[in-house]
Amino acid sequence: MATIRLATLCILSLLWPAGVACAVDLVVVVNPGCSVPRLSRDDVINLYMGRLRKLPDGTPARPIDLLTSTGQEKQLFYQRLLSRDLAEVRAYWARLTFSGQASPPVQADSTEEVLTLVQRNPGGIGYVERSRADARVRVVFELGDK
Amino acid sequence: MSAVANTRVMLAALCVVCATAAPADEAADRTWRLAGFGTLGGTWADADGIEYRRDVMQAPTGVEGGAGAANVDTRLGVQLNYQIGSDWEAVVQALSRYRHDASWRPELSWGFLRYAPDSALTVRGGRLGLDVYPLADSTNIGYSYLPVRPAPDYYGGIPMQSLDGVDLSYLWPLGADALKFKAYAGLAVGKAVADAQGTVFDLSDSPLWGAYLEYQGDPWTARLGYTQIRVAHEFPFPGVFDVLRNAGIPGGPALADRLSVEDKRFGYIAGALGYQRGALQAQLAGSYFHSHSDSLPPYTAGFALLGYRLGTITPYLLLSAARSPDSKPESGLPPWPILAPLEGAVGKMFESNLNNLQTVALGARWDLANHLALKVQAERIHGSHSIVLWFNDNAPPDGFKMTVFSAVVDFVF
Repeated sequence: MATIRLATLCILSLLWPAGVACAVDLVVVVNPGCSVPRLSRDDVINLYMGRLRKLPDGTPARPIDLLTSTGQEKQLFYQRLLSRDLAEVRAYWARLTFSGQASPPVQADSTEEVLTLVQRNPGGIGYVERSRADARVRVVFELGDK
Repeated sequence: MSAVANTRVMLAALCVVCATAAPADEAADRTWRLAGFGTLGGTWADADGIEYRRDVMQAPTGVEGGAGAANVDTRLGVQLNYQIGSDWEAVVQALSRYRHDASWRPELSWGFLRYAPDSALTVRGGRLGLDVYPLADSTNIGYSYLPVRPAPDYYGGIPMQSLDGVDLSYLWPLGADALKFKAYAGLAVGKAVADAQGTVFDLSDSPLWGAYLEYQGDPWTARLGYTQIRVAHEFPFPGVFDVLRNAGIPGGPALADRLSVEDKRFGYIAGALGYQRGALQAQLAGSYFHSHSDSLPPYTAGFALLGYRLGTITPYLLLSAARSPDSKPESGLPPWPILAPLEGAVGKMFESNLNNLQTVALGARWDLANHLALKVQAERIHGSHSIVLWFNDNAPPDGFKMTVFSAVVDFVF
């Protein structure tokens, strides 16, 4: 009986996406010196899918991503923005990268590094939990907590 | 240094690069980026006398009659991107795979300079990937697509993957979607296996051009494109052409002209539709190969792919088919017994490039870790002719059925 339970648990763990969405309030942030007041959802999608290489004010964009190992923010960001699983996003970028069409966003080790990179780059753009957005960045889009 | 030693040195160098490359997820904010991709896998097939291949650029694989091999899908690629200022980038990609000469000698698959002055315009020059693969610009990045391999019935007949030339693309954002136009021109880079003795049909130096229009939307994507090539070299059977042209056989020179491919134009039109929403993804594609030579007859091909993600596992169904016209051309040679061997050789040229087969494949992809996917696939193929499958002398004369099992691990780093 215990073996059957264990096998069932194993199968469910394979079929269930890693991590479950919870109330993490995500916002998209840019460098405080950026003249763009707000970004639309379309802008954020195009910037993170490699279709836009510049911000609406013409500044070369530097999208910054989080490493998967840093927590659930990355999964929630792509789920809310694109309704896509991280494996699908990685497959998308593998296709673009190895076709020489575009390079994926820079990967940051932590939310702290996202904030530092956005502060350093005039065209920096990242996503963080709302409570972590401080004076080093400015919020231009809200993904919400659902 | 011998070719074998050369290959070993190159493969060892690739392995060293792989070992030292930073994982793609850990790329720092820097001007260069080293990344790679690969597939390790095995394939088994049951049919006697018919060897399974992935495309016409592979030598016979030995995958037949219950035997398996790792050469069908296994490959390793390494790519270096170097950013030069904000508008320029240099890209070099080396690829090792099972080739037309049965070696794994690494090749330069890409090597170009890219100029992208704004978000819309991109111009590239150098060695470029041939962008005729709808929904996948390269068939070598196993991690980027769902099945074990892109449908050979559809993709396998294209005997080249690169061109030396230029391409220009322009992207129009349409809200969160985009419309992309791309045009390319240059000289083809590609070699296809012509016979069991290792003779090669060389497409090098053949001028080609093409263009496509692509809609990148959510949930729909679509592409329609056309590529034309003027073949620079004749089929590598000089004996046959020499006899037909110079032996005084009635109808011989006319037949040689019909069989010739040199300086003739061939066209490839392809359209594809993709859908991805939530866990569901689907693709539908069709193509038509247009020919002016009886030895490379026209054919139509298509595939349909349906997948549904259940957590980290995505089962899928892949249907594909390719078909040439039913009628086999008449040689027009006189029915003289002395010409029987020549008639046989000409008949083989007619038949070896015909397509008439269907494939049903069932499989699953398991994204078992970041940048690592395991895939298993079972397929059933039946038909009478294929330009991709390799028919040995003991192949069944009238039609065939074969079952193929594959298991691969795809990775990027």
